[in-house]
Amino acid sequence: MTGTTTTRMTYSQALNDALRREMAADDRVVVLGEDVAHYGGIFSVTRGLLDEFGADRVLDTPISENGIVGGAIGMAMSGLRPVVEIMYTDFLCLALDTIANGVAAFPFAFNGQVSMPIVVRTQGGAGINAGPQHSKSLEAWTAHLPGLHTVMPSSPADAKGLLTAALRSDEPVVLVEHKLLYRSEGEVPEGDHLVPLGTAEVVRPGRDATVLALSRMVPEALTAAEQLARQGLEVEVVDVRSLRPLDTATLAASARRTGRVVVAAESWVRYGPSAEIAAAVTELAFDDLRAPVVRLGSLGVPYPASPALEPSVLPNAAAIEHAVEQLVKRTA
Amino acid sequence: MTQTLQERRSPLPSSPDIDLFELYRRMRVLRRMDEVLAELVAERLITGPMHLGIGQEAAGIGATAALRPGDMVTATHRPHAQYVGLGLPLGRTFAEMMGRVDGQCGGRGGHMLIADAEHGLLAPSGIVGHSLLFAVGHGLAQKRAGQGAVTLCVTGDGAVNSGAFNESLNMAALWRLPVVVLVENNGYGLSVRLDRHSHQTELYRRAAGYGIPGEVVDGNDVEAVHQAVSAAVARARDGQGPVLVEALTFRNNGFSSSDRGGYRDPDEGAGVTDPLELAARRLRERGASVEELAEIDRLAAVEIDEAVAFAKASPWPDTEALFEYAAKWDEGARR
Repeated sequence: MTGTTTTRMTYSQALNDALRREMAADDRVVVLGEDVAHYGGIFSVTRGLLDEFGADRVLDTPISENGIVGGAIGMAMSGLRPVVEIMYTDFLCLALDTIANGVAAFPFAFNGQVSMPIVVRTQGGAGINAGPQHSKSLEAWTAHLPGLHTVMPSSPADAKGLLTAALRSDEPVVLVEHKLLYRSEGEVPEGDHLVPLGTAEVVRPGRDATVLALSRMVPEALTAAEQLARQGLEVEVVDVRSLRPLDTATLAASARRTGRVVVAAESWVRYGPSAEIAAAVTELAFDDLRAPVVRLGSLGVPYPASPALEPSVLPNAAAIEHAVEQLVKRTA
Repeated sequence: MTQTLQERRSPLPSSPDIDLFELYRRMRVLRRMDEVLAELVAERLITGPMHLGIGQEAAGIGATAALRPGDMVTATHRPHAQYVGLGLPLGRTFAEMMGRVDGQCGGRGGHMLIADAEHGLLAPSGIVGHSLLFAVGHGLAQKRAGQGAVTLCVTGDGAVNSGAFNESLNMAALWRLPVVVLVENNGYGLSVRLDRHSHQTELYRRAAGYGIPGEVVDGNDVEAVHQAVSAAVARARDGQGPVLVEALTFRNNGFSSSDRGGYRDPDEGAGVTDPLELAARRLRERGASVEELAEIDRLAAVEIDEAVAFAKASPWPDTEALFEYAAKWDEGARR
């Protein structure tokens, strides 16, 4: 499934590569959203697509989020495969009606008469002092809906692989990117590269503790694991990457191996994805856990804009490192 | 005449030269359907909310009659006129409303969510404003396909103040989509009279704000609606973009089966034209006999009786599929 040769590229370029390849392969794939055509997307993900595929396949839309997703529902029912960009996950709030009451519901409600091959790309997360309306992590809201995939790539390779899988899926997918990852670089397989939806991946093996990480917390967890390795602690890092379906088998297997679990997700802890992940691991691996699952996430306040305030709200590598140390200490 | 009516009993796909007899027949089937549905709700053979359209038959029936096979329709939570007007098999339709396995959606959708891909109904929705949004997407696909197909978007006066109305009308106009928006103005959004929720009550005027034609028709005159929507459809088919048609009508029943009433003047509907009476009077003026009209009415009742009998005989759906669906989304990875 994975190409043999790789190219070093950014997360943005990897997403662009996936879009370009699938648009070339299937003329039913149509990209629409705010700023996606002439401007190329505010994070440059759709750059060049208008020139290559033309104005009837790459559409600049009005600022009408519910209309964009609602339109995509009609397009899908008429046989197209729309790829919607919602510029900030915070703006996805404006489209939750059509996502919850249409996209996620109709294939089931209409008893299979229609499919919803819709990909909603959005980006979330804090870290650029953007304040309370442009920094949230709201993936729990879409992951709550049966009938809808919610995936969060943490690396350029997974960005390409998950987006390619999403574009080929006849089921709807919300793909949540992270604004601080767009410029991150990594090796990306050339040619066809798919990461199956609904799969987690062990990105660093270890025996002493498990960090179940999501999106930008994956590189943070890897940094923490490097530090902890110097103290002789071997930390296993698992990229959860698909929130629904949730790869509980892979998560629980790691929990059983190490007996110590930290969940690191940037979203708020209460009712966030870390709650579901912790519950699933506890249900499946309780007997092998040496302590309750520890959760790390954002402090429960709306994201403040000031550079003096925002860092105090966010989890990071140091917090993960500290949490693992404490967990090991109390279970030694 | 009886022979002709027999042939017409299963509604055919719509065609542009449908005559008043056929329009009247469809309205009679629809009226009978809603009357029987009220009984089925009272008997608890149908549970859940029910939105009838008694008194509004001409708007929906006249509009769908302007379409041809291959066109698309999006509809509201009050979609029975589209079910009849597009020729959905009514036995299956009643089965869906009764939650039975033979319903178009296997009992998952209920009365206001009967999608029927084969008949171009994708789809009604119980969320006010959705029909407008979906029409934009169909219109984009139709424009790109270039086959001259159009979308009839049925919406209501209750939806014109939703954000979806503004978002959709702008996009449909901006992209010159082959979409005809039919605003069924029945005078009430839920319990709130139009002039209590909209300052500008002449809704067709809103079209001007989007730079598209807007017109108003007597929504109780099925021929007038048919004519107006046919002209709009022809324009859209010709690539000239969307039209908004406001059909003035009157909802002669509650907003749903849970309506407690008490918010409107009991005499309010007294002077309102009944669309079936108007059509029958015209048919008589044009030479139809009382017996011919009575025969249409009789056959409509028979058709609905047969549909109800089919639905009642339909089994309940199996719950197994629910568990399979849930397992797929709730359990672990699918590799």
